[in-house]
Amino acid sequence: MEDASQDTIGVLVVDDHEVVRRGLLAFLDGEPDIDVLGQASSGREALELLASMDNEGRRPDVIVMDLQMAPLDGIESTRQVRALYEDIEVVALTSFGEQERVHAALEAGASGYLLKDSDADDVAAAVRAAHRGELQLDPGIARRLMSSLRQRPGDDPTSELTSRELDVLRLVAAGKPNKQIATELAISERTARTHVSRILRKLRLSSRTQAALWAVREGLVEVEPGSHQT
Amino acid sequence: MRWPSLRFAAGVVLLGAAYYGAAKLGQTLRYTASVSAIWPPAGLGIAALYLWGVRWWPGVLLGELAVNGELLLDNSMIPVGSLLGQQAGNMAEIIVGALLLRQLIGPNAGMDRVEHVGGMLVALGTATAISATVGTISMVAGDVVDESDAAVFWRTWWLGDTSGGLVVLPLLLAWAQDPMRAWRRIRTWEGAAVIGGVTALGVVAVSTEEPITYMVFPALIWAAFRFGPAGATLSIAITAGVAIGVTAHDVGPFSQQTIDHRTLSTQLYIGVAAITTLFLTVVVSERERSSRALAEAHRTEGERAVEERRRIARDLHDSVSQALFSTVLHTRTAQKALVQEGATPSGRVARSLAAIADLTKRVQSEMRGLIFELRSEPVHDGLVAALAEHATALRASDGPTIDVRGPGPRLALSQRVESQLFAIAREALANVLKHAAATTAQVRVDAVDGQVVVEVRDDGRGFNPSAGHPGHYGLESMHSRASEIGGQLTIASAPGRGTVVRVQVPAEDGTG
Repeated sequence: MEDASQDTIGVLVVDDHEVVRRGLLAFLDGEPDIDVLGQASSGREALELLASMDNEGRRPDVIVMDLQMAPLDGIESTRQVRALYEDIEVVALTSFGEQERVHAALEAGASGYLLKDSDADDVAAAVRAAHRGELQLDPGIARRLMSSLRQRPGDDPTSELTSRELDVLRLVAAGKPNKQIATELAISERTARTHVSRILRKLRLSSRTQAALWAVREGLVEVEPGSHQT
Repeated sequence: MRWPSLRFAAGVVLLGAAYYGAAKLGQTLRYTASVSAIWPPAGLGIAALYLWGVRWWPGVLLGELAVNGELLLDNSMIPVGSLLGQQAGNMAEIIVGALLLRQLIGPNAGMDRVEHVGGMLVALGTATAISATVGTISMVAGDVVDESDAAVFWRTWWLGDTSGGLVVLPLLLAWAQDPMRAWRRIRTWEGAAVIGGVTALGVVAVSTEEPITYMVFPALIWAAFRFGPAGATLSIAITAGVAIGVTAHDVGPFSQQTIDHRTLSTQLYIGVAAITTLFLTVVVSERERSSRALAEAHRTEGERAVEERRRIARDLHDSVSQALFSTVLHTRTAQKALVQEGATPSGRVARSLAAIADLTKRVQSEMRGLIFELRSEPVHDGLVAALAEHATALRASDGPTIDVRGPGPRLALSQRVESQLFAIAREALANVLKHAAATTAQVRVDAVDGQVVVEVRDDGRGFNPSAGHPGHYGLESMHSRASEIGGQLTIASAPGRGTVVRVQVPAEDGTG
């Protein structure tokens, strides 16, 4: 397990539709770099499972999380997962026509989202991207998230960031994964990861996405306005 | 004196005064002894006790005492005993009438139902029979009226109270419902015209010696049709007032007759006009009520249909869409396993799997469109969001890319206008998909200078817009939708040059 967790991405699948869980399990298990560590049919079950997995020392790296579930829907589950285990990334799994929920999930700290009519290969790609710490953002959704960030009250938290953390934040905002941040700053990937966690805590944010948007808003980096491309 | 009893005393005095006034009005058409052709106080008393409660009877008593006291001073012919008997009969008439009315038609009846008018006729007829009987006995006993005249005397009394009641009682009941609303309904040009018509025809009907009293009915029918119980009862009162006033001056068709016949004719004229008009107006009210109920039923039916569509969309989404996603995953798993096992991509299994993958994609796309259709109210998140969502629903691997751009904040447009704009753009996009063979389509929404512009542009094969395509391309429907919201629709296209459908509407003021 120790070795495996270095090479492969440990995934937890959370969805209340058994038919979807079976499909995801079959497909993700077929991917050589992905290892499905468990499955849950609700947010509550997922959190219980995570607690026991954490005790056994085999945390997943990425959770593929359906948003419409009970008890405890995917949005609230994402919030709790991100609060309890900041190194676990969440990919939200949503259906067509649930844009509102996507925004809520990203706000809750999901690092990406997948539509339930995506190609199978997109599912694997999203898991890998989340693991690398990459951002996946539709510009329309980015705009929405920016305006929701703006509503958050706060006293200038920029001053709390060290200059190294500001460097890391700029790279996060540029969409760079941890590995690349590590290379550019000549630090280990683990250190880069730690920096990101610390930045999130200081800024009281729950995801890289939000950190990136925050950096854009504070004028640390520029993003190009985009469009809804379908 | 405590406040409530002061109020009660004031109410009693007021009721007494009104009763006395109504009696004076009735006495203007008095031919024989104390009996009037029309006796409005009976209806007034019954209405007051019905509306406010029987405990207000002292007001009626006060009015009676005033009327009879005056009679006693004026005319010593009538013995006190007869007057007391008559007064007891009148009191019994009014109390029994009010109680019976409440029993038969319940409280707060607005004279807008057939059972209200029917119940009122029974209560009034019964109550006035009490008064007529007791009064006749009193007068015969006091030798005021000869025994041989008793039958005619009774009839005159009964018809006088009944026809007076038919004028006053429904008038008060109908107006007591919501006087301001009734007044607003009358206070229009048409209201003035109908009142003028009733008055004029009412005068004509009883002013010549020709028997043309039916002249008044068109105006009464007009009032009944257009102004509900309040307008109809007011018109009846005007008709009765005119008839009494004119006949009392010894003109008109009734004045030529003997005094008994004159009384009877006036009573029947007023009674028939009142009953006919009352029944007509309740029938109109009933019809209005049932058409309102029908509209309401249509509306709830429509809501139920929308709810049902949403439920179907939810179910499709919960079951079929999930299974299709799983099918995509399983198919891809099988394809990859096949490659790992060294099978050739052109093998039969590989080709079947590719076909399954393709088919699943297509069904997913159809399912998206279907679910989108079933979830009506497509613009409830705003036009731009709805168009973006629709574009996503239309996405197909072999179709054009559809790019939607527009302002993020809600447009200054009503939901109705947004729905129509959405429908126009949807129609235009459907044309692009069906006919244009385009590779890209762009939907642009712009809000500039108080105008909102929606543009659908494609790079497809185009067509000649002036050639006319009757029944095709939904062009008529796009034009009619645009004109319905005060917009301008232009279609620019030429063979091989793509198509631009552009619709422009003024933004609405005050909505931001």
